Amino acid sequence: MKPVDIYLAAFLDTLDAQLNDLPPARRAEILGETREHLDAMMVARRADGMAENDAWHSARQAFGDAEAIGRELAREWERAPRVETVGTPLSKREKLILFARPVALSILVYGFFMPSMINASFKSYWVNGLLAVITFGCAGYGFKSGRRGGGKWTPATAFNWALCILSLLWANLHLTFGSQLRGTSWETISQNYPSVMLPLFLAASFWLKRETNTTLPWRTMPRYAQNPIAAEETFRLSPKIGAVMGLAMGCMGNLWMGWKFFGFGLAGMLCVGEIALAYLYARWLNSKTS
Amino acid sequence: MQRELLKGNVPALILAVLQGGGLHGYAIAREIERRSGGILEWKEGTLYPALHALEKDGLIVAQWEPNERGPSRKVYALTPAGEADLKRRSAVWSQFSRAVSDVLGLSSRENHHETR
Repeated sequence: MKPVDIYLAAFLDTLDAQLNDLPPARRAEILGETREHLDAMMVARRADGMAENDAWHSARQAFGDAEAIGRELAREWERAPRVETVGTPLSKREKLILFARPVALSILVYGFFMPSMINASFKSYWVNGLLAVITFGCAGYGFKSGRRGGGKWTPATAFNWALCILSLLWANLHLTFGSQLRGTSWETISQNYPSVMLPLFLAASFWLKRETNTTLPWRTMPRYAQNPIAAEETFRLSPKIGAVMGLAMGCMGNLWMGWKFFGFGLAGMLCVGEIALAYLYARWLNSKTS
Repeated sequence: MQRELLKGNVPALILAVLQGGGLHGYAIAREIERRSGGILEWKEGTLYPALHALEKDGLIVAQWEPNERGPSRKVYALTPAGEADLKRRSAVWSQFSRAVSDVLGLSSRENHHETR
């Protein structure tokens, strides 16, 4: 190996060390681009008559410090996209991937833990199963497309995800306790589950669609359309708003079901625990996005 | 000092050179050097965070193109949003440089030279 190859490898290693938070494919892209740029710089210098070592040192000098550039690239990766680009159109492929990913993930995870539920969803409760699949897909699509390249919580995405969780809780309880609750009001509600949830699912999907169609989730509101700074501020607060909405939905479901099965005291404790978790989650989201 | 002045304007320079068509990173650096007559001194590596920022903001798009002489290259091209942004940046720069020239008294001196 020539000394220049060793210098180049060390330079790329230093750069790579700063890119720990980036996905491997993106890191490989950056390293490939940098290598190509440095190679081209060295070829140009060699053509001007420089010795190989001198060409490397000159190219490295002109390129800049690997650590500083790596830090800048990592910071750039963390930065949210500019607010004007929020909601820019997605390609069909991107839409499909965003829709299919959470669906596949939920089926895989749930199928792994409770194969009977997947079986029951497709055989006896196929309407519910289909609704859950659509909702999971819409939630995943909305979560990413609402902020292209980023992925942000907005009230509509939180509402969608809350419905997903609620339907999973519902299905869980139904399959676990369903047989013990024959002839009770629970069975009547469960039998009418699609008609209870369908309006909510539809409302959530329309809301999500409306959000992803606008350049900013609340841009349609005159106040924000005229004041982009206020809109951006609100967007920055959206993780908190989203978490609170998700929490409210989850709490409603938990409280009702918890009270039904475990009594009011335990249901209340569940809610308090959920509030604490949602608060920590909102704080974490804010620290990641602000 | 020149580097400080240049720092905030690298995105505008990138957008301007991409107006002529898609280019890869090294070619962008060379085109900026050529157009500035080698006056603008900067660390070429800083081009990449700026390129990634522009890509993230939807002002440029990147795609890998096969290269006959080596591995594929990532070629960047301007988007319609990028073109609009370039116009906006150009207008801001033009206004800014005129204002600085006015304060420094350069524009009146230039006018004076022209009238003589």
